[in-house]
Amino acid sequence: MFNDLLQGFVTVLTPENLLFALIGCVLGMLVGILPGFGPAAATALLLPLTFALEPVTAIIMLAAILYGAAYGGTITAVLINVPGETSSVATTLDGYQMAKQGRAGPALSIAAIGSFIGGLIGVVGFVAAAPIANAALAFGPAETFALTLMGLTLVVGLSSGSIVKALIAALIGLAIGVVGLDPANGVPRFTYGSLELFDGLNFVPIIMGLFGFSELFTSIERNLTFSAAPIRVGKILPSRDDLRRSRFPVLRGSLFGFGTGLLPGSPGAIAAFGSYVVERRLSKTPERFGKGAIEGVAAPESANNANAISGMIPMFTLGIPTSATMAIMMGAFIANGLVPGPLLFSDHPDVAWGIIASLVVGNVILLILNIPLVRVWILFLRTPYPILYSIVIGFMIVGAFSLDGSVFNIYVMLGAGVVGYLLRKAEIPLAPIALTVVLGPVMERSLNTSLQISKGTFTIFAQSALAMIFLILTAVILVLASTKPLYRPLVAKLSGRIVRSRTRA
Amino acid sequence: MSPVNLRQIEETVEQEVGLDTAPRLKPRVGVNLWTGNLVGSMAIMAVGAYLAISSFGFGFGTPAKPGAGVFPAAIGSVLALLGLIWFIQLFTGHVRREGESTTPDARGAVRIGISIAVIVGFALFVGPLGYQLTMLLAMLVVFFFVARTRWWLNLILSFVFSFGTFLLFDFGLGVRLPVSQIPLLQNLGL
Repeated sequence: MFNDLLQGFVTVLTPENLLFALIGCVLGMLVGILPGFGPAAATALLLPLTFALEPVTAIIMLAAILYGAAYGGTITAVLINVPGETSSVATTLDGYQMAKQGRAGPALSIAAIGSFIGGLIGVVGFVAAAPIANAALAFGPAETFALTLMGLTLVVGLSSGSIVKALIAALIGLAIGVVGLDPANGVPRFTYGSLELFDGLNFVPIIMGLFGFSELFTSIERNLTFSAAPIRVGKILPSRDDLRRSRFPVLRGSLFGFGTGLLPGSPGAIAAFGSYVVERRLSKTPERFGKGAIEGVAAPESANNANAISGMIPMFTLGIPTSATMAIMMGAFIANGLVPGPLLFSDHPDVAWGIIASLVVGNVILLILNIPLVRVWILFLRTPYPILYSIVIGFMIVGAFSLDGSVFNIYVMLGAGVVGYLLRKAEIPLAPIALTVVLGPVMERSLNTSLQISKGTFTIFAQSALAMIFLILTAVILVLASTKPLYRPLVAKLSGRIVRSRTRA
Repeated sequence: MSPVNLRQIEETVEQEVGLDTAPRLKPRVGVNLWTGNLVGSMAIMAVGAYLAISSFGFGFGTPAKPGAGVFPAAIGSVLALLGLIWFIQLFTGHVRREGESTTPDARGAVRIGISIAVIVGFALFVGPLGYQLTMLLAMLVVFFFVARTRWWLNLILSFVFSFGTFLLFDFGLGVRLPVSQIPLLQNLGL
C-alpha cells in the first residue's frame, strides 16, 4: 500500500499537475467567496474547464477546486460574516468576532492550518480504508442494487426537511436518468425523436443548471448592492498562545469530521457544528465562545476538511457518492472515462492512488496560498458581487457550450436551472437529485441483471446475506426517517435531561 | 417565519454586525408558501402520471427479462403517489402554510428574465455570429442590466471576457469555439 501511495505521489508531482492544482485552488476560492456558491456549485460551474485535460490532471484540478471553494467560504465567513456554504456557518460564530477585534489574520491562518491538518488526517484514514475496495470487488448485481438503494435512502433519510420532498427529489433524478436508450434493451425512452437525447441527458449541464444557475437566480432575484464593512486583518500569523489553544481542537475536530464524513448524506455543517459544540463543552472557559475564541474557528474548520475527504471514501471504495458534491465528482470521473468504485483501484491503480496523493498536495498548496496571500483574497472581496455574478453567467454559458460545441447543452443547463430554482422555492432539496442522476442507471442495470440471473424471482436478494443486510438497513432507515416527528420530541426531552444532569454534576 | 420576525432579525444583524443586510433579507415580502406547494404537488403528480403512462409504450418484458418500461413505470407511479401525499399533507397541516416569500422583487424578476433571454439569445446566434461576437453582445447586456456597471467598465469587462475566454479555451484548453459563418466576420477572425 505504501508503494502504491508513493507511486501516486510520482504521478501527481509533475509540473503540469501542480500548475492545474494551483489554478484549481485559486479559481475555487474565487467562486467560493460568492455567497451561496459552495463547493458543489463551484465544482459544477468549473467542471467544463477540466474536460480538455488528462483524466488524472482533471480530477486533481477538481479536487483543488473543491478545497479552494471551501476555503473561499471560510474567508467570507470570517471577514464579512457571510458564510459561503452551510459548513462555514459555525466559523462565523467566532471567526467574525475575531475579525471585529482586528484578528482576522490569525483566524484565517488557523482556519488554513486546521484545514490542512484535518485534510491530512482525512487522507490517512482514506489510505487505511482503501482495502474496503477489495472486499467490494466481490459484489454481484444483487449486492450493488441493495447497496445503491441503501446509500440513496440514507441521503434521503438524513435530509433535514420533509422526507416526502426528499424522496420526490430522488425520484426526479431517477426520472432524468431514464431519458435515452434503455441500457438492457436499446429501446429509446423519452427521446421524442431527438438524436441528442439518445445518449441521455448530459450530466454536466444538468448539474451546472441545478446547482449553479438555480443558485445564481436565487442570488440575483434580490437587491445586488452589497457593502461589506471594511475589515482590518491585523497580524497574519497566529500567536504562540493561539497555536497552543488550537492544537487539541484541531485534532478532535479532524477526528470528528472524519467520522461524520463516512455517513452518507452527512453535510459538512453537522461536522462543523458538532465539533464546535464539543469544544465549547470541553472548554474551561465556555463563555469565550461566540466572542472570538480561536478554538471556535480551529475545530469546525478542521472538521470540515476531514469530513470532505472521508466523504470520498464510500465513493472510491464502493462507488456510492454520499453528497451532492461527491455526486458531481463522480459525474466528472465518468465524463473522464473513469468509474469510481472498487474497480478503480484494480483497473487504474495509478489514478486511484494519484488522486489520494493529490489530496495531500492540494492541502499543501492551499496552506501555501492562504497564509501569505490572505490580503490578496481580501482584495477580491472588494469586487462588487453584481460583477462577479455577471462573470459567472458568462462562464456558465461558455462552460455548457464547450462540452461538445452544442447549443443543446445550453438549453439543458437553462432548463435544469429553472427547474432547480422552482424546486428550491418549493423547499425540495437538490442533493438527492444529483445522487440519483448518477446512481439511477447503476440501479436499473444491477436490478435488471439480478432479475435475469434469478430468472425473474426476487429471491436472489434473499440468497445474498450482504444484500439482505443492506435491504434491511434500508427499511430501518426509511422507517426511522418517516417516523422522525414521532420520536424527535422524546429524543430532545431525553437529551435535555442528560445535559441538565451533567450540568448539575 | 413572519415578516415581523424577519425585520427584527435584519435590525439586529445590522446593529450587531454593522452590515448591510439588504441583499440577503430585505426584498422578501410576505407571501405564503401554500400556493407554491399546491402547484408543486400537482405538477409532481402530473409528471409522475405522465412517466407511468408513457412507460406502457416501452414494453414491460417478462420477470426474467424486464422491459424498458419497468423502471420508468415504477418511478412514475411512486412519484405520482408522493405528489399525492404532498398534496394531502397541504390539508393536514404537515406543510407550513405561512412562510417567508422567496419571490423575486420587480428588479430581480427583470434580472432573471434578462439572464434567461441572454442565454437563449447566445444559443440562437452563436452559430451565425461566432463565439466572440455573440459572447461580447451577451456580456454587454448582462453587465448593463445585471451588474449595472458604468458604460466604459461594461465595455472593457465584456471585451476582456469574450476574447479572454476564447483564447483560454482555444489555446489554453485546446477546445475550439466556433467562428462566424458570415464571410466578412470570418475574415476579421471573429
